[in-house]
Amino acid sequence: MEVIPAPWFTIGEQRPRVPSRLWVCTLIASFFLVVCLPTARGLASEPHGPTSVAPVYVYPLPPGIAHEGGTLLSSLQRRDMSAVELSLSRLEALKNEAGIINLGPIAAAFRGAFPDASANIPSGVATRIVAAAVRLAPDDPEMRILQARTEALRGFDGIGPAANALGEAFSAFGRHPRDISIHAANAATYLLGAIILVLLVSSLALLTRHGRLLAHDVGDLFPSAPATPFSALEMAQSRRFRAIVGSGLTRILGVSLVGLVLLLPIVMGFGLVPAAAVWMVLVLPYAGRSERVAIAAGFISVAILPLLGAMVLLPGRVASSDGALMWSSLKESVGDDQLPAFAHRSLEHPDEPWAPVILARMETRRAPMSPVALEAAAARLVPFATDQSGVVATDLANIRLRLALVSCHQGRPDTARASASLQAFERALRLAPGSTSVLRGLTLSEGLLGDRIGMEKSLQALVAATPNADLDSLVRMRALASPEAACGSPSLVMAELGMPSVPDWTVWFSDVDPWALPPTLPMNAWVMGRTPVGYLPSIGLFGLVILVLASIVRGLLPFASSCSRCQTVSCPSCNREASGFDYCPSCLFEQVKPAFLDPLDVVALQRRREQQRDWSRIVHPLLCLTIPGLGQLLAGRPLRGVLLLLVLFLAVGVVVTPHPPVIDTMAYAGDLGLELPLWPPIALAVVYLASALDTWISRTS
Amino acid sequence: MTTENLQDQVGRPTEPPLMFSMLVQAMRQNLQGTVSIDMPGGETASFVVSDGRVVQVSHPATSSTAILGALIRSGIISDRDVPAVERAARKASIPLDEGVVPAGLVSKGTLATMREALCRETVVAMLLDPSQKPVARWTPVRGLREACALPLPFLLREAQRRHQELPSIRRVVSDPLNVFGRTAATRPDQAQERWEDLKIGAGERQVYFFLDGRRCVADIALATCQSEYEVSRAIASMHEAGLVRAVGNTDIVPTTARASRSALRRLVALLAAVVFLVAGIAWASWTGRIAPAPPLVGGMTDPYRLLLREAPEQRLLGAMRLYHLAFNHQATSFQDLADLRFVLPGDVRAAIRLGLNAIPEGQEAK
Repeated sequence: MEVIPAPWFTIGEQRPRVPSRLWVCTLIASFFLVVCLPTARGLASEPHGPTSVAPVYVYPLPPGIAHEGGTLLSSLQRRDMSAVELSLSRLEALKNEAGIINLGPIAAAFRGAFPDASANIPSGVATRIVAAAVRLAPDDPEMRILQARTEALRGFDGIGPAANALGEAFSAFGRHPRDISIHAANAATYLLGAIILVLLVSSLALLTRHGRLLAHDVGDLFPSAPATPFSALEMAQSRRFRAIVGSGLTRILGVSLVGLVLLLPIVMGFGLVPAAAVWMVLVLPYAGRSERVAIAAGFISVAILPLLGAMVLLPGRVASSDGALMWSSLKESVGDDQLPAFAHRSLEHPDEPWAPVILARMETRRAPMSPVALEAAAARLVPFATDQSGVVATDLANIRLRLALVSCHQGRPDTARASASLQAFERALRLAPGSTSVLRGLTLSEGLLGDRIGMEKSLQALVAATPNADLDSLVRMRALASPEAACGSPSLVMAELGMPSVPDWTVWFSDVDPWALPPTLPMNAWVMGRTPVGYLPSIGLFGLVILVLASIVRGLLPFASSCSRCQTVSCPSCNREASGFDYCPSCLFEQVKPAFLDPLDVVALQRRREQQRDWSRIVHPLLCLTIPGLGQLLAGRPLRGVLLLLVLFLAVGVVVTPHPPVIDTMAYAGDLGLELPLWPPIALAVVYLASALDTWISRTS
Repeated sequence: MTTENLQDQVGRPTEPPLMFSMLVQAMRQNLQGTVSIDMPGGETASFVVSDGRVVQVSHPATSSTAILGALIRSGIISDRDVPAVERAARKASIPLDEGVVPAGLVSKGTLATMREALCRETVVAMLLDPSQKPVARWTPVRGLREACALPLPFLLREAQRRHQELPSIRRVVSDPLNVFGRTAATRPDQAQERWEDLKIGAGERQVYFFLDGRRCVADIALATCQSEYEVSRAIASMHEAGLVRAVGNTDIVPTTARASRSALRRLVALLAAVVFLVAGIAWASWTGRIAPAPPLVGGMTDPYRLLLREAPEQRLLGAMRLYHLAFNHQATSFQDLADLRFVLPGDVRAAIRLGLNAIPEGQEAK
């Protein structure tokens, strides 16, 4: 029997089965963990001063792997690429031996150190090293991205492989919920702030743009709107002190009323975002087509704000759940200190297979050659053997094969155990057809029984299932797939067994509802006031319904509009009241004004209009150049305005907080540059340039 | 000229009045001079003809007082403005009516237009009055200050036209206080009437614009600065086309009163709404029914702020794990991690919180 390398966990006696009293103790310990530990943590985090003894922070990796990881990193620091390659191959072997799917922490450390280390090495060597590093964590999408980057640096020849690696990276994102949720959380952090700011600024801008129309319609709710002075008598009356005071007072009261109505949502504690939604609803009747599109985007943004908030908080929520721990244990590695938690979990969730699978794997790793340990591990899995994912069946079949291997006597395995192993793999294949882990086990199992034909068929099926299969591995398997070879070096056979892929998202979210809306948004008191965050999707949806209704009834209701010629605000009913025609009264009066009417009145009116136009001609471009997007919104180019504002706020957000706040502490890459990221200044320059160009192009409109 | 004058002339013999003949002669022979008329009460009216135009009219209807009266009647100035006008006229040593310009009440253009309109109406009225006994003295007048410029052909043609049209106009507009409204306003489809589709002339459009079933002919004449005759003629023409109809004038409220009542109602309603809103908000805040400022979520409980606050600690945690992986021992100081660019300089506070020595080992003694 081959000498088995020292396992990284405690070498000792076979763990006894958990007695009935022990789970009571486990429950008490769990209570302590749940209730007391957070308190203790809270106390520890109080800024009273440094604690005397710092805890030891280590990755839950087997010592041999951790040691080789250190060797790899020091080789990278020395830029000794041959040592790096050697370390990588050793790590891969150790990983396979320990039955670990991904060495996430080592891959992340490699990712952080490699760009500096590979500065002056030939591209072919770099590509080879990265390909070997990818095998350490095949499910890590960022390793695939590093591979794509390295391939792309090769030049024209590397474009195809880089594209392939990028494709692999995208598919790997689906297998790595932790990585994708952290990336999504970081993106959502910036997006959340930017969207809230864009919502507020754009709703205020739309309100400013259409405020006169809104004020007119609010005024129409009151009796006897002041008629336009048409005759000399009416004009003279309008110039009298009492009329001036009266109209001034009416105007002040009207503006105050509109202001109060607009502020009412905030005063009542609705918060800024719901108030912005109300403001958008109020300006809907006056919005043009592109503005309605922008408002629809605004309502959709309001509706998705809670989802973005949930996305930001999701990694934090999941990190403290058993689901994340189980996923890390199944896909990466597990520490000894986490075992009580899994024991507790298997008691709490007797129908869930994942904690027993982890415990069984741990028991197998702890004593891979101990029939008692292997039987105990198999006994854990038997109740879940019919699990539809096939993971339990595959793990069980692997254990059965291990049992067959440890039962070897004089170079021949125990036939009954070998047959049981074969039957287990066949059951697993029915549950997980085409699974490479099952096909590998099936090949080895058939080889162990001496069934060469069956072994060849299984090997062909394996090759068909994995077009990019590692040929060395296939050669090794073929060499080991005989009773003599397998019994001669059982540890080598065990290293060839594949670990089945778990349903990542099911395990990751086993304790957390990913769609659960967060209780708050950033700066909740201002942003949401007293409105529950859960109302936002309904508010957004309601706004969209109102938008559709407003678009339908827009032509039927007499909302105020601004005359395209003279900018006078009036509505059809006021027009008819003033002149009997649905025609801008000022323009109509221009056509029929009496000859003796004071030219000063006419001139003053024209001057006022021109002053207003001059004001907007100066202010809008200035705003476009100072706050890109705001001027566009006020000038009636809302889509461009919203887009520019969004990019502006995103870039400013990245400048203010250049390092993403959500960090993967379980696979930390390091390598934090002190310099700012490159894209925010570029984005800012592009936004200002685009705004200036837009102002220049639209100067005549 | 008012419609009463027009009524008097209907049915008279077709022989032109003497004044008309004199002006025809002046036009043909290009005469210059003064035409005087004795008026009842011993007063004398006159007008000066020069270069084929009437350039000055001296008549009670065109006097400074009359022009000022017209300005008051048209609402451009009020009675209370008259003292200011008098002061301005006295100060500038100009006629009373011209005082409205330095007083800042009326522009020069408005005053000139109004004066010319009054002069035109006065001369046309005299032209059509066969009872006048004018005396002409055709000698050029020196040093004359021109108050208007009414071409003789225009005056003569206008007088002729009015003489012919008067009977048909009188059948529709019998009194300057007659009120007319738009026929379309009574039709159920009046909302469909479009300004662009009206098939009437510019002058009639002007009158039609002001016809609202409330303004009388005299009001419209003042509003449009047309003579009552011109307004009556436009109304008669539109009446014939079926665009306007007569409205009873029994329950017509004066425009001024209507406007001020309307403004007052609006003011009161707005005030009531504002007071109601402010009082409602104040009452609700006072009684705690609404809370304008909800309780702020503290930094310790706001999960988003906590996320940003804990980011340095998370970085340190990852960095220490990474350091342990790389060197197989725990980092002893923050500087160890910072030198390797595993953390940011700003993470030092978090390092102190986690119990990591924040001071480089070599500097501790200093």
